[in-house]
Amino acid sequence: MFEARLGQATTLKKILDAIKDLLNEGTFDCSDSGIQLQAMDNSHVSLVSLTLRSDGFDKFRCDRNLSMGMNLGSMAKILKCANNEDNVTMKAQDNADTVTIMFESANQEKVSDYEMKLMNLDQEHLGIPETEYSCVVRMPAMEFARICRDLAQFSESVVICCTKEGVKFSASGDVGTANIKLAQTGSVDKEEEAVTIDMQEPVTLTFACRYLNAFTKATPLSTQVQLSMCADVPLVVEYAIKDLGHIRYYLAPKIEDNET
Amino acid sequence: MSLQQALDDCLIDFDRRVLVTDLLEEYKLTYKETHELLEAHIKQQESASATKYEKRFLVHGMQADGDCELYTIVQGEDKLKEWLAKLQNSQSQLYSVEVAGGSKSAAPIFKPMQHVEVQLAKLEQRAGATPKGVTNGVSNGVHKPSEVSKSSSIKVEQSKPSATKVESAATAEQHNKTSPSEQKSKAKGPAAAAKKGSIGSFFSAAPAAKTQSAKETKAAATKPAAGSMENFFKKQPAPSSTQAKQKEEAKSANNTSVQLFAEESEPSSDEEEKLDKLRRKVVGSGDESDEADAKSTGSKRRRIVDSDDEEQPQKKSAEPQQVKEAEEPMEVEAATNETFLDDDGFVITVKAKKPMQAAKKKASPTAAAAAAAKSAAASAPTTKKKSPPAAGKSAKETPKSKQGSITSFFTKK
Repeated sequence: MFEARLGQATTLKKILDAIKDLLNEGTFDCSDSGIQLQAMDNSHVSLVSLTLRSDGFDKFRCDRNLSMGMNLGSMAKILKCANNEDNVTMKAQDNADTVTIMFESANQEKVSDYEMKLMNLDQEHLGIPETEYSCVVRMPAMEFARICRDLAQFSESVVICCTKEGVKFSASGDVGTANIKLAQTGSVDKEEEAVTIDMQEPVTLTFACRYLNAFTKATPLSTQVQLSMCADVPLVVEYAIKDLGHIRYYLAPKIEDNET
Repeated sequence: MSLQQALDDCLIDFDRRVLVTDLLEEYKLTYKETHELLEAHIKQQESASATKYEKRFLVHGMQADGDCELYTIVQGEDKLKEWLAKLQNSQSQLYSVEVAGGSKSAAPIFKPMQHVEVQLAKLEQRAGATPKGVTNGVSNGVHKPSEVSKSSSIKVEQSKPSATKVESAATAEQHNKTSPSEQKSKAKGPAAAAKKGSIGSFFSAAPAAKTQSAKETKAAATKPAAGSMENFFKKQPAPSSTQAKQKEEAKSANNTSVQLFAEESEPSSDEEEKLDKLRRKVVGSGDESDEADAKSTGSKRRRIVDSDDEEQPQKKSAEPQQVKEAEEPMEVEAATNETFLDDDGFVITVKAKKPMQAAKKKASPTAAAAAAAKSAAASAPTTKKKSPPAAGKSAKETPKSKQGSITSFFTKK
């Protein structure tokens, strides 16, 4: 049997919102350590890796490892039925073909449960190697979302250039060119507003704006976002989910097309 | 000229290795005579000046074990003696002579110096004519077979300006047939231009790299209206230098239109003056905003812009004009395929467009796509000026990079 309970449905709502634009379906792999989901988007350009630790749940029980293939759109619809403050519990029997999602209001006066059919998804799991990234930028998630949104107006691609001076986001297109430079913050009162750059080597990579903007759907989950870059390696955009885990997006860089 | 005379006149360059065999062939002497003359000359030179000569000898003999017959070339008389001692039934002959310490290798084809001079002199005399008979391996750098036909075609035009259209067309056709290399270059020019522009100006980067190339060609064919010709041109300032090159190439090839311009630059006859007048008329009447007109008279206008002063009001900005100038030679080039200009008409240039496109299509698929785009743009000339220059830019940017796949970075479990 599998049962996982979260104190606030809003967290799960945010998680679903963060992935449902990229993924139509996903398999939640449940084990005693927690819940994991890994899936590529349809075009196989980006990869989403979600980790929810078991200790982050109010209650977590997983007798046997369980893989639950779900239609994320359907799940998001169900989660919309929950109030933000509701407790949410996911339950599934071993070898079951449905999952039950139960919402309980804070005062226990309202309890609603939804049963959703599970899917047999034949999804490929990719082995993600341990990588030492040349540049790791931590910055406010809101700022990153803003930058991606703004630059998307200029071009389909964003060039992220990280040097010791700072990190520069550039886009060039029909309208013109846009450059946004962020320098490392000296000292800030609020940690969530800090921009920190951990650089071993300068890196310049080009990424598709569309995906970056899709990643920023996770902004409500975290105040800070971490961008890890290395030459010829996918960008990692990581949002920490407080006390629960993290969501990582991997995005393949755009590469020089020598054929043209 | 005898060998003795050549030696006396220092016409044989001993800085290079002089092979006795070459001398034999050149002066039709026996080996004995050649050898004697050469030895005498060397001795004389060595005694008269400090110059030392290095000799090589051909040695023939049987190896000591008697099995193997051996031919070898040895350097210097010391080694010659060694080898002669080594071999049985050995014999030797002088093989080559050169100034000791000379580093130059033997000339590929032996020629006494005077002979070379004579050849050069001949070439100079025949500068305007066909330098066909150069057979001595000495390249003078002016040997261009394409120029031959060019000059001949010019002659035809000058001498028979009243030739009928049919005739001129025939000559043009013949002209095409006779120089396939030229045709190639013609086809190449526009194709290259299309390559530069087509992808860049008409497409945006597709996230999926799989079908990108196919899409590109398709879109080039189907989306010509999106970017007008002007856009297309505006996008090309960067490669203008290459286009200029192409222009030059076009000139060097048998581009008859260009030839016409060249001729026009030297007004010599009444007919040419007439032509000039007519051109001016055309220019005066030509409205630059009239796109269709501009199409048909584009090449004419270029000539006028080239030849006339710059007082004429130019509505377009400098940049597009530059680009246009770079672009137009291609049309001119194509126009040559069709025919020459007759006394009054420039309409012939318009006629020439179709064959140009056809040629393009034949040349390569990219050229075909470009041609399609061009023709479509021509068919909708009203969209010309609306063309967003930025579209070109973005397109320019997009083909540079393609979206990689995440699977190529991570291994499957």
